[in-house]
Parts: sequence; structure tokens; C-alpha cells
Amino acid sequence: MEIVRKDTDLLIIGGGAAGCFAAVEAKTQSPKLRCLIIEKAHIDRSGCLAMGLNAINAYLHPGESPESYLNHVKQEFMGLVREDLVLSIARGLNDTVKRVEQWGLPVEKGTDGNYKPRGRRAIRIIGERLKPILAEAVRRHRVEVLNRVAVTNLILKEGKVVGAFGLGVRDGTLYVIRAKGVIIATGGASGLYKPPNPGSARHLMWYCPWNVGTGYAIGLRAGAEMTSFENRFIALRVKDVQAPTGTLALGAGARQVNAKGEPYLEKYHKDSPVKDSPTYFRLLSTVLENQAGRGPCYLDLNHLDTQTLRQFKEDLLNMSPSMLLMLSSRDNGDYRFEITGSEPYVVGGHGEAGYWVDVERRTTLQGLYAAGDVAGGAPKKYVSGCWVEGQIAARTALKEINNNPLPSIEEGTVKKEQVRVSMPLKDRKGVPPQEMEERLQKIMDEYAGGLSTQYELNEEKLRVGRALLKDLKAVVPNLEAKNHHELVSCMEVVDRIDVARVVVEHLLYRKETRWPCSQSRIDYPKRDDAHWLKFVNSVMDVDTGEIQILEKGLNGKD
Amino acid sequence: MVKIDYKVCNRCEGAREKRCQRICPGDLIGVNPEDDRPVVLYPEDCWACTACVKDCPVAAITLKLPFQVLDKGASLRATAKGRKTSWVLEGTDGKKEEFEIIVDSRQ
Ligand SMILES: Cc1cc2nc3c(=O)[nH]c(=O)nc-3n(C[C@H](O)[C@H](O)[C@H](O)COP(=O)(O)OP(=O)(O)OC[C@H]3O[C@@H](n4cnc5c(N)ncnc54)[C@H](O)[C@@H]3O)c2cc1C
Ligand code: SF4
Ligand code: SF4
Repeated sequence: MEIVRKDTDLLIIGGGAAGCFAAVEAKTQSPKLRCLIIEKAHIDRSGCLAMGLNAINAYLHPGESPESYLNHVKQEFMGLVREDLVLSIARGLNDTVKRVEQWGLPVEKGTDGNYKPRGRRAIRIIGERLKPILAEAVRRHRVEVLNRVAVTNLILKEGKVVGAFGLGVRDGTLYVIRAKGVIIATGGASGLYKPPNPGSARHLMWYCPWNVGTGYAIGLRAGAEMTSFENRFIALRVKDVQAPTGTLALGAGARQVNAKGEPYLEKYHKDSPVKDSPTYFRLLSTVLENQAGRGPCYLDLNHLDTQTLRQFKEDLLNMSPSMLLMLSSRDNGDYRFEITGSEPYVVGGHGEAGYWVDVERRTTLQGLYAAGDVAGGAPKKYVSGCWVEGQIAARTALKEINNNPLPSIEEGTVKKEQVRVSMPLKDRKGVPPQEMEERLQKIMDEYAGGLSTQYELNEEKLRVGRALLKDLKAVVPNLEAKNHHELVSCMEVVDRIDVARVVVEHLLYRKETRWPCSQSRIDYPKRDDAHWLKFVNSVMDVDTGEIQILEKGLNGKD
Repeated sequence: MVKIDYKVCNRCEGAREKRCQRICPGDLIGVNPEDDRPVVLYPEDCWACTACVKDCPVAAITLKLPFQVLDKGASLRATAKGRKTSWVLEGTDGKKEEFEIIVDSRQ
């Protein structure tokens, strides 16, 4: 295994929405700074934004304020969010959107010159090329980019983060990168749970299949504190193609109906425990309607005239081409599309799982800052909120980077990572990464509230899940990789197992049901504000891998 | 699932790294050293993101949904040129529908 060493001032891990924005901000503020992005794929089309977007879901239209935005997010998440973080995001939303528009993103405008609203807090964009536009801005600002290098661990010295290890995904090179400050921006985690379809359709999932939670895993293994992993994100989507229901409902005026064609949301509203949270309400009502024997549930697009249909097809090309294939294969004229909940993900940009950060986006590890889907406590940040967080993290890192020489990294530290990473190539014990992944997904699905159990959780099953994950972790040394591509898959499943273990500990700890479906404890079916209006946090012991749970108050303190 | 039409593909005129190979977020596409052809090495891992479809300069790549989820599928081809992305959607009946979308507002 060849070793390549590299030094920089600011290292950004993950060149997605948050990472690209952080890099541009850093170079704008400090053009002489050495800034390096390490990206697992190619920044032109990596991560969540690879397909494109047709809306920016967090924006303050005239009449809205950061405070009104916070109230909305609080209400949606049953009162448990980090207010300081959400406010700091809300304050930056409109400026970051303006900047990206200047970089070339087409944004639809009304006759008054304002952005065209799509619902109360979103704007319509033609965002098929949003990712290449961000990448272009990164290049214009002379940020160095290492594509096709996947970070595998952080490097610590005397408790401070001083760099990271990366694996060249095509040639197995081990990169040893030293930096004065490190921003983590690797997105959230998909593939922890069994996906809706097996085999050739296993990656028709909502979240990017290659955002596997590495950012969380490397933080956990270095002792960083995480929050709210029990707040899993479940997306209500068009079945099999994962098209967002918002594009259909808000963008095309689709009605949500049951098998009999009856709108069903209204009847649940009066007694729903989540009636003030539209996102949870729509998902829970759909699950209940199916359980009551009135499924499948649909979004009904039969009302669309030819011209609106054409516009709608263009919208789909900009962000959900699979949905267009499904739509265009309907030759019986029935434009109802079945909707279901996805498998659970861990995503701090839609939900609130992730690094425990302060308002300047410092993690609990010195020298490490977090932004975007990897950062916790501030749900509903979406793409624009990730940009704001990237900006804040970059500003903080710049303030704290000093002129001290980079510390030396002991050979033993490098050797240890080299052995860990190359093991699946050498000790061939016969478990391919795909099979290890399937085992993990089966355990999570059956015992930690996946699709097959309609997300339901109870103490005993979770305990079985905990034990099975421990057994699975013990056989990680049996992983076998036939080539470098499979070696990356091995590292991915190792990271997913670490993240999954933390998810299960969090689900076990919260003994109430705060966020139905995301966290439905059938043994504690009610929300219990008297005892549980607080954050569940965790830290992994860096030596033993044991997970310790901590509680934090609403104000972000003990 | 993507399919490469080798009658249309020009191997990116002999470039060492092919455009489709360069862009795939899952690194699923490789090159056969014997005939310089791009090959989808891990078709079952495709996310159907269309990055390779759009980046192919000669529109040689087609996206279809797996048979498992759609047993009579439409298909999509595309090319990104300048500020526009052009798409050709072919329905199950063979009828084609074309789209041209301005996706970058810079002049
Ligand atoms: C399908 C889909 C549709 C969406 N639609 C919308 C929408 O319409 N509107 C909206 O506002 N928001 C939308 N979102 C949400 C938005 O895209 C995300 O919140 C945002 O992109 C997250 O930014 P990020 O930088 O945290 O993650 P990403 O943008 O995913 O970037 C993470 C980056 O890290 C890289 N990476 C991962 N692991 C490693 C590693 N080990 N080493 C190096 N690099 C690594 C990835 O390749 C990727 O480039 C959507 C998300 C998805 C998945
Ligand atoms: S559609 Fe996307 S995931 Fe599939 S091969 Fe092409 S670039 Fe890769
Ligand atoms: S990008 Fe198109 S032309 Fe180039 S190698 Fe791939 S399929 Fe062939």
C-alpha cells in the first residue's frame, strides 16, 4: 500500500453542499490560505446533489423572519431542537441562496422580482446542474481538490484533530493529511436499514447510497459527542422511485388519497399526536391508513392538463428522472402514484441526528468543525441551511487556525491505520462486504424498527438488535475485498455498523414516543414532555468501543 | 440501470479516463483495457442519478428502471451542452419526447 503525505491549512472532508460552500467562504476571506477538499467521488456530481434539485426548501420569503422560521422548525420537531443553531441558520439562508444564484443557478422569479415561492418556505429552482455550479465556484476560488479519496479516520494528537487518513478508491493509496483545522461535511447515512427493494433495485433509495455515515463513524471513533441518533429520518416518497411528495403535492397540486380515492389526511387531524407537524402528520397518517386496510395510498395527478404535465416532466428531469420513467410508462392513463415511507436514514439536514456542535459549529473535539447533514440539533436545514453551516464552520476555523508548525504524526499511528484499512485485501476470510451489509440491514430492519415492522420499536427487540450488532462487529475482521472498489465497500460497512450501534443505543434510551415513525416506541407510546424534553447524546469510548449515553437540556447544556 | 450503446460510444476519443467513468458518484464504471470500452462494472449498485447519462458527450448512455420495479419501461438519454441539458424520453410505445432545459444562467 503506497503512502502519500500532504499538508494543508484547512482540510474539508466531503465536497458536497456544505463542503463546497465552506471552501469558497474560506478562500474568499483568506485567499492565501491553503484549503484542500477531500472527496470520495468527483465533486462535479457527488453526494445528495448528484441528481439535481428543483427547490430550495429553506428560505425566508418577505414577511418571514428567523424567529418565525425557528417557530416552524420547533413545532415540526415537537419542541426539541437547538434553538441557537436553527436561528443561526435562518439568519444566513437568503444571503447564501443569493450567492449561489450569482454563481449561475437559475432561480424562478415572479413579476415583482422576488423568488417564486413553492409553499411557505421554499423557492423553485432549475437545479439540475446545481452540483457542477458549486464545483465550478470551488475551482474559481482556487481550492485544491483530491477527488476519489475516501476519508477513513481522523488523526488526533494530544486530543486535537490534526488531520485525516484517506483511501484512494481506485488504487488503494493511503493518504496521510495534516491540517491546522478540519471541517467535516460528509453528509448523513444511508444503507443502515434494509432498502425497500433487493438485488438490482437495492440502490433505488432516497438518500445518496455512498453517503454511508463515515463522518459520524470517524468522529465516534475519535471520541466526539453525537446527538439525537434516535431521530431517524423517514421520507414519504413515491414508491420505488423515491420522488419527493413535495414536488408532486406543492409543485403539481396532487391530492393525497387512499385506495378508494378518498382524501384521508383530514380525518386523522383532530386526534393526531402530531397534528402541528405536517411532515410527521402526513407520514404517520399514511402508515395508519395502510394499517386500517385502506391502502395503497396515492398522490393523484389525474387532474393535470397537457401543458402542466409537460412542466411537471421538466421538474422531474431536474431532480428525479426515475419518476419521469415511471410516469411515462403509464399507458393506461391512470396518473395515481403510490406513496410509502422510506427505510430510515440518519440525516442531520432533514432530521436532527449528528455531531453535537456549538453555535460556531465547533464539535466537542478541538480542531474539528461540522456542517451540513453530518451536524446535529438543527433539522430542516436542507441544502441552503447546509450552505449556511459551511459558511459558519469556515469562519470559525479561520479564526482558530494559527501559524504554529504542523505536528509530526507518529509512524505507529500511520502503521495502525494502514493495517486496519488493508486487512480485507490480505486476510481473506471470505465475507464479502455486500453480505456483511445485508446482515447489518437485516438486523436493523427486524429489531430496530425498519420497513418490515412499520418502524415500530420495543425494548426487547432493541436489546436483541444490540446483541446481534455486537456479534456482527466481532466478525468484521473476516471481511474480504477482491479489489480496491470492494475495499472501499468494506470500509463503508464498518462505518455503518458503528453508526447503527449508536442508533440502537439511542432508540433504547429514549423511553417515550416523541417523533412517530422516526421513533415509535410501542412500549412507551406517548410523548412525555415532563421527562423527555431533552437531548439524548452519546460518546464512544475510543479504546473499548463502548457507547456511553449523556443527557443534555433544551438549552444545549447539562 | 444504465446501458451503454457501443455503436454510439466513441470511447471518449481514446481519453484515458472516460467521462462516464469520471463522473459516476458510486465509481461503478470502469474501462476494459483490451478494447478501451467503458463497462458498468457494478450495475446493481446504480442509483439512477443520470450523472453519466448527461455527461456522455455523444448521448450513448440510456437509463431505464430495473425490470423488478417496472416491467415495461420508458428510457432516457441526455446530453449536457453549454448552458443546456437536452433530453430524449422514449416511451414504451417507441414515441419520443424531447426536452431542452436551461440549467445554468451564466451567459
Ligand atoms: C435525493 C435528494 C433530494 C433532495 N432534494 C432537496 C431539495 O429539493 N431541496 C433542498 O433544499 N434539499 C434537498 N435535499 C437535501 C440536500 O441535498 C442535503 O441536505 C445537502 O445536500 C446535504 O449537504 P452535505 O454537504 O451535508 O451532504 P452532501 O451534499 O451529500 O455532501 C457530502 C459529500 O461528502 C462526500 N463524502 C462522503 N463520505 C466521504 C468520505 N469518507 N471521504 C470523503 N468524502 C466523502 C460525498 O461524496 C459528498 O460529496 C435532498 C437530498 C436528497 C438525498
Ligand atoms: S446513473 Fe448514476 S449511479 Fe448509475 S451508473 Fe450512471 S452515474 Fe453511476
Ligand atoms: S462518456 Fe460516452 S462516449 Fe465517453 S466512454 Fe462513456 S459512453 Fe463512451
